[in-house]
Amino acid sequence: MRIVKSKYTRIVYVADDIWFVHNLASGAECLINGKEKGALEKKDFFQAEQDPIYQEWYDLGILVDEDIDEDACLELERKISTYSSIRDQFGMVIAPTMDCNARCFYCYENDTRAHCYMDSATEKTLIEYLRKMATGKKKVFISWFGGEPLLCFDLIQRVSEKIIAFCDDNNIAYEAELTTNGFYLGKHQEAFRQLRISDTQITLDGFEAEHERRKNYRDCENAWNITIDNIFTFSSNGHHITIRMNFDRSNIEGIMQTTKMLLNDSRWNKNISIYYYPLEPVGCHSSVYYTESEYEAVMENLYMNLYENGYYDDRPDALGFYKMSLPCYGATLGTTAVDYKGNIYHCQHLLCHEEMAIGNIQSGIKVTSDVLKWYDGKLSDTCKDCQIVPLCQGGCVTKRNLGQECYLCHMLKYRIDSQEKMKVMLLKRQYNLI
Amino acid sequence: MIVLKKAENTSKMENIAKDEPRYSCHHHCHEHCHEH
Repeated sequence: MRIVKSKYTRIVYVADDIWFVHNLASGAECLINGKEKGALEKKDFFQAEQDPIYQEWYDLGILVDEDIDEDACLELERKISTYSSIRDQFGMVIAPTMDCNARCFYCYENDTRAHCYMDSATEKTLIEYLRKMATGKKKVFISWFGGEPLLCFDLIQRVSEKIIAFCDDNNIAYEAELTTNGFYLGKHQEAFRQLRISDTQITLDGFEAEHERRKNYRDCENAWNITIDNIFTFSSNGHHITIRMNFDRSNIEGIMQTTKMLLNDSRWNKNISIYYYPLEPVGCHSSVYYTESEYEAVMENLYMNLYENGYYDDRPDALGFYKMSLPCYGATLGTTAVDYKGNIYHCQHLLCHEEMAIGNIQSGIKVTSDVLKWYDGKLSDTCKDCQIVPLCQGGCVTKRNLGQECYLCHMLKYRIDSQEKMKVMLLKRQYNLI
Repeated sequence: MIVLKKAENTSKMENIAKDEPRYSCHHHCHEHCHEH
């Protein structure tokens, strides 16, 4: 049997005569010596029976059959996953309002911002729709979104309680998450536990006054201190908090400072995760935004700052490389988004753009040729030679469908080299190779 | 060679999409959320 090096195998230098080898499609990782590395790099093909290590590499997916098409394998996985998840799971991103107590200058919802809330008739229909869609499923996943969803927490509570009761009665697993700016979080701690909201995402946009300026709050005094206190209080009581830090050229120093402040606070704990996301030029190409060609260098600084401040010490798995089955939920009808009027969309980036709705909670999703064409499991030409495809499966489905040709990629594309560096630094500590 | 992590997937047909599909949840668009 002739076998060859997988196109998704990557080799990284660790120390004298030691190399870290991993495969992005199989997820396997190993350490090899210089002689083994020489064989792995230089040989055009291998015969598994010639050397036991070739068989081991084959079992790890570092080597693959010569006549296998690795891109076809990934495409098959995307296609199976697109439809198979509909059978067992039901997910919905629910935006019960587009109102918000902040006015972030970069928000993609600014053109749909309105003091509008889901009315009681739509709420009742939503509960019926959720029950109907959950019937027969193994798992239900709800993501509360907005606007600022905590502006209508009573609705969240009412809907959640009814769906949780339905899931419990029918032996269906239930999980929820919520995205908020964090200002109104404080009083809801016990309710979050009862409503099984397992993760709350909060965005921080800079340090102290910079955060408040960029979020441009309405009638929210002392927003920075309240938000930071809420993050620590919630996480210290067992709630998982994901902090998203949106950055551009003008707040990058504040983002670094915020990271250090959080990690060095005595209240810092393992229930808090951090990730960074560059603001993209939406509609305008201001010089304040980084370009894609700059992402790699900026990401390395940000994530190295995390590493140097001990972020990964108690969570080495966060430096793992995990293959995806699909780019995101937008690639499957198993999870959709609904706005306060009850219109259903492929993804939350389309909320309130009624011309993009694929149905509504009154009559369900209308299956049309356009709905079917939304995601076909194919990659764009720009992805075809990219080694990161197993980790992203093709990037943003919505942007591509809207004809956008840039800012499509998964952020791991820009930080895989720095993540490998950090992984190696961790391995050197683990194996006393420093 | 020291194996740090075995293969979770392989390009063998019987292994393709054998597990529950893994994809970004909505608020981690373009990012992974493997920490929780």
